[in-house]
Amino acid sequence: MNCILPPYIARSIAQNGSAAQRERALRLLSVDGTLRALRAAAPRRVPMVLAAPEAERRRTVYTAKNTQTLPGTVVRSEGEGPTGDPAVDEAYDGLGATWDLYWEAYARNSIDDEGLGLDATVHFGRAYDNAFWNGRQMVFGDGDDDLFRRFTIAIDIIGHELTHGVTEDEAGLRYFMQPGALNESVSDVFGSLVKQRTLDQTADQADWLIGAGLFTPKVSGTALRSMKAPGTAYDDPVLGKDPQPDHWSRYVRTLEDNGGVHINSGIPNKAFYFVAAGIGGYAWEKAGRIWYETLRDPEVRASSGFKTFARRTAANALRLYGPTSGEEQVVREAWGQVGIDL
Amino acid sequence: MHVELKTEGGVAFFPGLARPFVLEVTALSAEDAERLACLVEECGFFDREEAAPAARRGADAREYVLTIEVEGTRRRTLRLRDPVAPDLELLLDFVRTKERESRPRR
Repeated sequence: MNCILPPYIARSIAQNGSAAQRERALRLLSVDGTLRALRAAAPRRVPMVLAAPEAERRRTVYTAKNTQTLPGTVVRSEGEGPTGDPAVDEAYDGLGATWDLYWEAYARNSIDDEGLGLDATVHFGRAYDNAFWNGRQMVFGDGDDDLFRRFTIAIDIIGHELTHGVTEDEAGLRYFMQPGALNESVSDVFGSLVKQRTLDQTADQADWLIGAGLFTPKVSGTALRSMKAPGTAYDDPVLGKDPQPDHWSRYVRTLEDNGGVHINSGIPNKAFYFVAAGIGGYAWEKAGRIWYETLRDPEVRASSGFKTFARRTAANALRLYGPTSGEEQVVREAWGQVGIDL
Repeated sequence: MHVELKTEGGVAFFPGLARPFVLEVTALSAEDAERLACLVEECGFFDREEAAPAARRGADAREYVLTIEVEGTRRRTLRLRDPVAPDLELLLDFVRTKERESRPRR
């Protein structure tokens, strides 16, 4: 069942190795019955991958000069030094850290796995207290200085937004109800992994907070969300109380927030935390790989809910690490702990 | 004039910010009331089509449901999405600034 080279390494060689190495890697991939091999053999990707030079970061940071015009004016391009503007430089570094996670840990070449340039606009709008992915680029506001500081201050938010692009390119999870909550959770997972990898933290050292540092000192709270303890990130007179559930039995049925996408993401977020803590070590290595492979799994579709996604994480843990290594069991137990029995 | 703004979406859901914000012009200073009236007039608020949400690509963008009513005469609701058109942005900024000013002082 297991091929000699793990598929992700074979794929990396197929992209970057010498001609002889590439030929061998492609031969391995061609006899490997895994999902990844099937995808690697898909005509859309292979010719482009083989034709591509060494993968490289292509970052461009723009400023909207406090308007809502996108993308705005270029202020820093790939290879240029710091500008001294914290929003510009944080965006540039955060894009780099996110690109690095995807390339170095999962051999993914940017958002589309085909080397798409990473574009971000900072200083969007006036007192704009949000960050978003518009389908083509990331956008960051300066915050209102009342509740929120600038949104580039949290590197996991940069990873979160960019991961929306990855999800759009892969599983395409529909942004509504359970698929939407999974979409949001996947962004939190890889956003947190970008931060953990930047800080060289193991699962037990990480704070598992999303957006720590965004709130001004006036806010009673530590972050937008907590993956380790959903529902505890803030309790504030203006913002209200963190509404995230940490268990399927407390799933929130609502039409607000696109059917609770930022609310019910607490459930799969906590499952991921349990997996990472259960496996131990650097969370991006095994737990992250299981989630990444699941995001690319053809059986995870735009309409997939928690149960399908959970089942595929277990299937991918088994495929990647085998039946005796324990990872699959950790994954099954993690979902069970949040009320999703497999 | 009566203004109501409901903000949806964003990178997180905050129950306290999800409630509609209501602004009665009678509560504004004369200067602010005049400014609001100008912004509503300049963007042609009552003549604009109620915009449909943009095609569903992307994530975490904000949507704004902005309703303005002039007593007994005109009422219109526009659904806006980031990035907002420049002339509407000025009006939206005004209402959002008033929403921030209405928050409890700490």
